[in-house]
This record gives sequence, C-alpha cells and structure tokens, in this order.
Amino acid sequence: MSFFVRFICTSAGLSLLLISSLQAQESFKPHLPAEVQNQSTNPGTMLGPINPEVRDLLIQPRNGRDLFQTRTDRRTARYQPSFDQGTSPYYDSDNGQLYAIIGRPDILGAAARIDKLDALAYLRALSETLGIERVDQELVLGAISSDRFGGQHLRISQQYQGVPFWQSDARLHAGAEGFSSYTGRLFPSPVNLDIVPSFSRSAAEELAKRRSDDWIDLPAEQLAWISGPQLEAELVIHQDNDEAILAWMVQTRPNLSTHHSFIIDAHTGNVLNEHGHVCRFLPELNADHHHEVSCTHAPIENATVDELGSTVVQSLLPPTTATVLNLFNQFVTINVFSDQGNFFLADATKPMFMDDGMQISGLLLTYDAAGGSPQLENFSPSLGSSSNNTDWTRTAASVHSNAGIAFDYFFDEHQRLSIDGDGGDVLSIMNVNEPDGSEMDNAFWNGQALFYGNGNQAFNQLPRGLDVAGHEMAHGVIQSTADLIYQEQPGALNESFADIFGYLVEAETGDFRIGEDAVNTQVFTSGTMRNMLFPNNGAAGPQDFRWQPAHMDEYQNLPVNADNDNGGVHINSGIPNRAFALFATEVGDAVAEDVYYLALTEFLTRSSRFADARIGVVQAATQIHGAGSAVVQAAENAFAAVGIGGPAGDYTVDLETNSGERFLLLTNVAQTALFRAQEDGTLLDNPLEEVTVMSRPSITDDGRFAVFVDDQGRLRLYDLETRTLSFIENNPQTDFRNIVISKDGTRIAATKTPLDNQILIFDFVSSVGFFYELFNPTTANNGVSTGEVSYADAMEWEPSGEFLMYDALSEASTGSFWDIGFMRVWDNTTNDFGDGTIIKLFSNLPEGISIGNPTFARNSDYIIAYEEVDFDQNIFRLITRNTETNDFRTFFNNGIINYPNFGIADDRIVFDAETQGGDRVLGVRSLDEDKITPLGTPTSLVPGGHWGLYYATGDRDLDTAVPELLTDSGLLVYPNPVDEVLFIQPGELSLSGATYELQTMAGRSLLKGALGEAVAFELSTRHLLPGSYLLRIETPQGILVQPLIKL
Amino acid sequence: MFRVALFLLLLGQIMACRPSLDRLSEDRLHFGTSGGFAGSSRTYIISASNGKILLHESLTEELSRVGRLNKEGVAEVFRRLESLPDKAGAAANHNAFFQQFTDNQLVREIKWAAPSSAPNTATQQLFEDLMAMMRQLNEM
Repeated sequence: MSFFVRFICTSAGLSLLLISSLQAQESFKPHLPAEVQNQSTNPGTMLGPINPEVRDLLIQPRNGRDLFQTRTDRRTARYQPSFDQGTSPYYDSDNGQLYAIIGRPDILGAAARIDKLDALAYLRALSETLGIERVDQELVLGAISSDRFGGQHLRISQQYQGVPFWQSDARLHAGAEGFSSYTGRLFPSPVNLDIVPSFSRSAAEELAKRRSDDWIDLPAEQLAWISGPQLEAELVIHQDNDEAILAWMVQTRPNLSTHHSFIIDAHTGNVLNEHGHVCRFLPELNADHHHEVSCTHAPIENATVDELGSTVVQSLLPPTTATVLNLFNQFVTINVFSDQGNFFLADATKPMFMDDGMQISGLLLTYDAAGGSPQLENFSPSLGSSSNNTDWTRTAASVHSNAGIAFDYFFDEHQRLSIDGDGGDVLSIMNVNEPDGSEMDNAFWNGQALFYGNGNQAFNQLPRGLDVAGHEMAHGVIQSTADLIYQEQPGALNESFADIFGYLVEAETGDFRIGEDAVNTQVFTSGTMRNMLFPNNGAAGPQDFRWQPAHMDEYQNLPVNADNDNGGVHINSGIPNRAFALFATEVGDAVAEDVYYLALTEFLTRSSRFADARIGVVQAATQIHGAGSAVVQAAENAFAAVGIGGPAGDYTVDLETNSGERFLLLTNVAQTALFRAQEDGTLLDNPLEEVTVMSRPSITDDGRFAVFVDDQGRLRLYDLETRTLSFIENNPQTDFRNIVISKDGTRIAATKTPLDNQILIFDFVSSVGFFYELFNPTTANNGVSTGEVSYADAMEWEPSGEFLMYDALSEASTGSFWDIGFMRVWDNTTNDFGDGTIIKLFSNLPEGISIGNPTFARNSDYIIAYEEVDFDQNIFRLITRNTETNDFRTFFNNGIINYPNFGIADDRIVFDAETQGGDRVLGVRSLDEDKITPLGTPTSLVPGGHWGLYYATGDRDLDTAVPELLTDSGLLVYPNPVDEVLFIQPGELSLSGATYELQTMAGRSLLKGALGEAVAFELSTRHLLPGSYLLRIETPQGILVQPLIKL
Repeated sequence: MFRVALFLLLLGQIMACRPSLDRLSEDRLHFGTSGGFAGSSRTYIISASNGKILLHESLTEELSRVGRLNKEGVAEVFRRLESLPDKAGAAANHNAFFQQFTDNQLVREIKWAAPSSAPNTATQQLFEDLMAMMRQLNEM
C-alpha cells in the first residue's frame, strides 16, 4: 500500500505525509433514492414535534427463504420480521437453534378463545422466525391439554410435503390472551429436498431385515403378540445437523424378544442410524412367578384370568402387609399378597390397581435377580417371595418400600398415576450383579424397570437410599414426558431432573446430597456421591470423578461415548442441579417441585438443553405464580447464578461512558459543510468548516478526529480540536468513496470507485494496509448460493477495533439485496491483521427486504441500530436490536433513509427525518434503559440537519490487554477442519494449569474448561454449527489462539 | 461356540509392570457396562497385540490386569468383532458396550441397554461369551 506512506496516530497527535490524484465520486447506495436536497445551509435549533410519514407495519412473508446460515455468533441471528413484534425469540448460543419464543405477536391481539385456530394464527405469525415456510402444511397440531394449574399446552409435530420429521418436537403454551409462547426444536423447512425416494421401500426393508440376523418368520398367532408388524417402513425426514435427509425408518421385530429401528437414507441406501428397543417384562405370573422378557404388545392385556389362575387373582384382594426391617434397621410396612401359603412382593394398594376379572394391572412388583445380570440373555428374575411373610430381607424391604414411597410422591404431589402416567406397573429388580458376576456398584433404569446392585467398593447398599429409588423412578417419568435424549446437555438435564426428584422424594429439605445413604465414605470422602448445592463436592477438579461443575464456566465438553459418560451427562448435571438447589432454597421445596414438574412435563422436549431448561422453568413459574413474581425472579436468579442462558446473556460487557464534553457533528442536507452543535441540537459553529462531504463522517472515540471523503473522492481528516482540515494521503488519490476510522484512531477502512467487493484496511501504526474481499459465507447452507457481493457501503468499527461492521449489496438470482456483515479485519490477540472471517447479522434475510446503515451503541457492542428497507413499499424502518438476546424494536418508521447514531450515553438516537410538511430535519428520540426500546415522541433536533453524529471529548479504555503469544510451542490442535472431536496435544508444553476456551470469531465464549495433565485432550465439537471459531489455550507459558473450521 | 478355556493363559499374580491408561495397546477392544445412578463404567480392555486383559473401574480409578488371551483367542475375538456394525445403538441410562480401537482411533462403537436391544444376536453373543470368560477369570 505505497500510497499510504505514513500516518501515525499517537496520543501526541498525527503526522501526515500526503500523496496522489483525483477521480470522480460515484453516488453510493444506488438502490436507495437520492435525497440530495438544497435546503438551508444555516440550520438552527428548533425543538418540536415532527410527524413523519408512518408506513404500514405489515410486510408480507416471502417464499424462497434464504437458508443463508453462518456460524453461531452473538451477532448472527435468524431474521425476525417486524410482524413478530411483541415476541422474543431465544437462540441456543451453542448451535444457533431457535428453542423458545416468548410473547404473543402484537399483530394478533387477544384470542377469542384458546383453540387450534389461535394456535395456527400464532404459528403463522411466527413462521419466518421458525423458518417454516408453510405453517398450515408443515406443522401438525396435537390436542390441547390442560395442566393442574390451569395452563393449556399443545404439542406440535412437523412434516414436509407430508413426510414427518421424526426428531422434531415442540409445544405451544397458552396464556390469558391465547397462545403466547413456544418451546422446543423444529427444523427449518428443507430447500429443494427430493421427497421421491430413489432407494425403494422394499430395498430398505430387505436391508433392515438382513441386518436383523436373528430373524424368524413368526407364525400368525404370534404376530398378534408383538407390538407392531414384524417389518414396516415409513418415509421420514432425518435431520443431521443442518441437513435434512429423506430416509426410511424401518422397524423390525425379528422375533418375540427384539425390536430394532433403522434410519436408512432413501436416496443412497446408507444406514444413518440403528438402535434397539428394550422390551417389556411380561407380567404373566406363571407357576414360578417369573416375568419373562418379551417385546409383546401391551403384555398385561394378554394376562387373562385363565392364564393367571383364578386363585392368584382372587388372592390379590384384599392385600396383605408385612412389617419388617429395612436397610436402615427401621421397621417399615410393605404391601404384599399371598398365594397358596406363599407371600409375594406385589403391592396392589395403589389407586391405579385394576382388576376387571379379565385383566389386572397397576401393581408395584419387586423381583429378585439373585445375582443375575439384565445384560445377559439368561436373566430371569423371580418375584420376591417369602413362605412366612416375616423373613423378608432388609434389601427387599427397602426396595419394595421405597418404590411405594416414590410412587406416592408422584401421585400425591403431582397427581401422576405411576411412571407412565397411565397406571402402568412399577417394576423393581434387586440383587442385580454385573454381567461378569461381580457385585454391582450401581443402580439404573433400563427403560422398563428400576435395577439395584448391592454395592461393591464405592457403595455399600444402594437400595438403602430413598433418593436412589426416586432418582431411578424419575428417569422413567422423564422417559414418559420430556424424554430427554441421553447425551450431552439433554442427557445432563435428564440426570439433573432425576437427581432433583430423587431429592424431593427423599423429602429432606436442604439436604442436597445425592446417594449419601449408600456411599462408601472411604471412596466418596465428602460423604456423598453428588452434592446439588455444591457440585464440586470437595474434589479438586474435573480429573476427580467425585467432582461436578457448579457453573457454566466449568462446563465439561466431552465426546459422546461410554468412556466419557455420553458427553458428561453425570458430570455437567451439576450445573442445573445447583440452579435447582438455589431455587428451592429461595422458594421452598413445595413451590420448587411444582415448577420443575410442570417444566419437565409441559415445557421441555427431547432435545432441550440447559438454556431450554431456564426458559421452561421460568415459564412454568410464570404460569403458576405470575409474571414478575418473586418465584419467577428466583428462577431467573438461580439459572443466572450458574451461568445458564437468559435475556441478559453473559457477554454483555459495557464500556464506561465517555465522560468528556458532548457534541453533535452534522452536515447540512446539501452536504456542503460541517456543523457542530451541543447535545441538545443548539448550534455552536455555523458552519464549522465549509467543505463538501460526500461520505458520512466517522469520528474517533475521543472526539479528536473526523474523517470523510470529499467531493473529489479524496480522503479528508478534520481535527475537531484545532479545527484543521487536511488530507490523509500525501498525494491524495481521488477514487475513494467512503472511509471510517477505528475508535482508537489507529486504523481506517475505506472503499473505492469503481465499485467492487473490496475494503481497504490500513494500519497507521505499521503503515501497512490490505484489501479484504467481501463474500457471502456458505459454510452452513450445504452449498446453496447466497449470491455475489457487489460492494460495501456504510461501515463502522467495533469499539475494540477487531471487527468492521458494514452493509453490502449482493446480487442473487432472485434479485439484489443489502445486508449487514461483520468482518474480522484485526486480531487484537496477535496485534496484526485479522483473517477476514465474515459473519452475517442474519442467516435468512427474506427476498425483497434489505437492511443497512448499521451503527453500534456507544457503550454496548451487542446493541446495534440499522434500517430495514422495503424498496417496493419505500419503507425505511429504523430497528434497534440486542444481538445477544435478538430482542428488537421498531424504533421509528421513516419515509427517508435514517442514518441512525446513538447518543454518548446510549440514551437516544439521532436520525434523518422529514416533517409532515416535507422539511428535512435531524430527528431524535430517547431510548429506554435496555437501549432498544424507544421512549416518548420523536422530535426535531436540528432543522435542515443531516448525518448527525454524537461525540464526546473524553478518553476511555477501549482496549483489552494483549497477552503474550505462544510461538513454536509444539502444541498440536487437530484435525482442522474438524468434524466431531478435536484433539489437543501438549507437545513440549506442560498443560498443568492450562485452560481452553472455544470462542466465536467475535470473541464470544462458547466452551471453556481446564486441560490438565493429559497425553491428549479430546474436545467434542459435534454440537457446533459449521463455521469458523477460535480456540484459545492459555498456559502458564503463554497463550495460543488457533482458528478452527467446523465442518 | 466360543471355547473359553482354550484361550486363557492366566498370569496369576505375575505383574511385569503396573498397567496404565496412558500405555494401552494401540489396537484393542473395550467392553463392559456404563452409566446408571453413579455414571460409572466398568471396562474390560483386551489388547490385540498381546491378549492382555485389563479391567478399569471408573469409580475407584483402578486399572488392574485380570488375565490374558492366547493368540487364537485374540484372533477369534477380533474376527467376530469384524462382523458387527461399526456404529449402532443409542445412549441409555445404563448400557453394555463395545469400543474397538485401531491405531488408537475409535473405529467401532456399539451400545445397547438390554439383550433385546442389542443390534443383533452376534453382538449379544460375543458380549455374553466375553463376560463368561471374565466371570471365570474373576472366580480364579
């Protein structure tokens, strides 16, 4: 960049050497109407109301949605059209997915009644936000259900051209005015998905049958015993990250005891997924009172009086009891039944018990595995029995009694009739061993029953713990309700809810220890297996199996496999566990249990993650106790305390407000001079400088320098302190179109004519510049073209000086459009030029809508203002947006281009406007504390004013410390690009005390944790959206920052 | 049928060196159970190169040597593994599992919650045979 010879910006001032020649300036933003008017060059102050033309708010939804996805970032969001106003969408910061919408669109008004028509209207209004093109065809509404607190809910399933998405699951929730919130995970409508399979149904069935190598053609009479056809295939849509795949879901029931599901690509025939189902325990009480494992359909219905024997049925009523010692050496009364002189562990006293003479159901049954393992084929537990009803083992007494207590908890507190909510049997199996014959140091839920080992080294007697029974039964309840997937965050929530209800079943208020009655304290030296209130549990860190994270700062990102607890489900559960413990401590167990049960059963879905849990718990609290109630606030506080989600986010760090004297720099409408005014618009210099200003000026944060392009295309610098106008170049070139200066004055960004897709970044400190090419990233849209970038126009530096925010015109096959991007042009860590990574503000800007002229809030870089333009209707809508929460407001409806700019304290926005009489003015409107909500009426600030820019003359710290950088460390990070797992090897470094942090390109923290002394550290990246990220590794020797690409 | 007795070369108490998770054979099979209330795993590890069998218990963080398979036994185990799916099953509260590593890379992972949900008979049968062998070892 030879033309920039020297331009050193220091605290002492600037030294300039100037060069170059002249060319004509082209008009910018040719798609925006030229508004150059020869109005007064002598603006005066005239505060008063203005009545700009207010346009219709409605913009029709467009077809042909752009699937333009970028990586997860606080500044990347789905486009939310203005007719969603009144709602707040919530996006998962880990993967960008929409998981909740809170609020009812203003446009809907109150519903006449809560019904499916209102649900449909709600979903239609949110279709763009949801990414669903044809709500009526693609969403299927279930029945409206009511909870015991009066709330109404409706389950939504999703399909595309009649083909169901098998993984999607979402719910709507109604308030007083109709449906007013959405939770769950739907997928954006597929684009160009061919739903005619090229791999046939019969081929898929044959493939699945072939893989079910234990196939037996069942005789006709046995076909009635299995839970469905022996072989069936259904066309489904399988979502794999961002890709929708047409697939066959094939169910095979190759024999009476097995049931498999296969997901087979309906175009390639590739098997995408296969898994088995745990089959039921057949409750046929045969002569030995054994239950046998079978995949029979609703097996209890097959248990007729004849099969069971009338004596057995008759003996069930009335029940018998026994008072025996449990594992605590306490006497407990258990419910049993007798048959021909023997007694059995079957509790028929619960309200679900039914005996219609043909069928019996609703029993609590406790079986004795006698050292068998349910992982082995020969597993054949027998119903617990006694010949005298007095010699029950203490284990039997505890298991059978605890099952009854846990059942009673769910029934008494939540009116839940058994695990399945439908009066199904509760099966408990005691004396379970490992498949290698050793004593089992564990207890578990296998999808059908509760299993207890007797302990080995780490545990003494697992059935002793009532919280163990509550925990395992809760797994069954979870399976029947939210059905949280058992891996990563949904799996950690599954474990957390199991612990929560384990605690509640145990009913020892304030004792948040889990498993404390069963552990060997030589192994669990804190005296408990887990501690919900203090998840670190007295252990040193993640390398200790007794430790759990207490805050998202300690979150452990682990691969999904058996060695790593399926992505840390028993590890990261510590974080939501602590949120619950804090909440329950604040509001009491009775309130907490109602809120959490409602959240689990009505607000969470299979894929819910920690952020969903916060929304679910807060919404449940809101439904029961009302918005703004102390309970709602306690829920918000509890999750905030552990760093989970929330409207405030965790990344909203504000700068200190510039404390200097405040001014307003502006031009006249004809752009023939610079003017200076007080903050309230009172003109101070009239004019400040007579110079034709062809680009909107840009000012350093200390208010010292303004830069702009003049009418001959030259870069100009105006010293606001000395009132000196000069050229930036020694020999000024005349082909510049726009220039902006970084807040600290060390760098500029400039565009040139003729128009092209390049931005020049020049660093005054090193006297080096580079042209950065603009492009539309296609990392996550499977190659769908998003059009070529023609040129950039408006630009503004982010306060830290790393990112340049710009708007650019792109040409797509469907037409041209303006949108807003962020380019990483500088790296503060390396103090060198950035890698040029581009992030878009929106991932799915609809056709016909353009956005531009973005500007940052002064003190909060997560707040921006920009204009949304519909050229067809000539609407220039000024939008304010919190990019952390994606909350936004229509700040002003304008008939002309707004050119917004925030006040020094982010308490107002100045913008171009017209009076009702058509006179051009600088308008101003106040902002609420959230920095996006407009306050009061817009007023005229400076008649005839244009391009208003507030500035203040104080100095403030815009920088962050630049750490020492590691070079030649030998530290290996691979593979890159990465798909599912990233490996970090220390090389010659010691990773003792080292930490890692995975960041967005904008520096937002996604994951962090300790590396520790490991040969190789594995970091799961499977949940990340494709795109670019930064891995920051901080060691005692220094810091390494490694760009990563996620495939 | 897997002939367990044929393949066992029992090392008794002879320990050449203390086993370590950092020094596992690059080619190996992990199998066992994991999950449950404790979120623990009990994992047997068979080295493809020398047939050594280790047991890792996550709750006590103990890694112990339990026996050794002879060459024929190792060959049969890994031959039978080849007939199993590379990846199958879904995570559940408690799983049985196979994990095969080649050159320290995970090349096969199968998990299932009960015999009825094993991906096929061959998977369950290999698990049962290996566990029968482990039972024999543990009883010695």
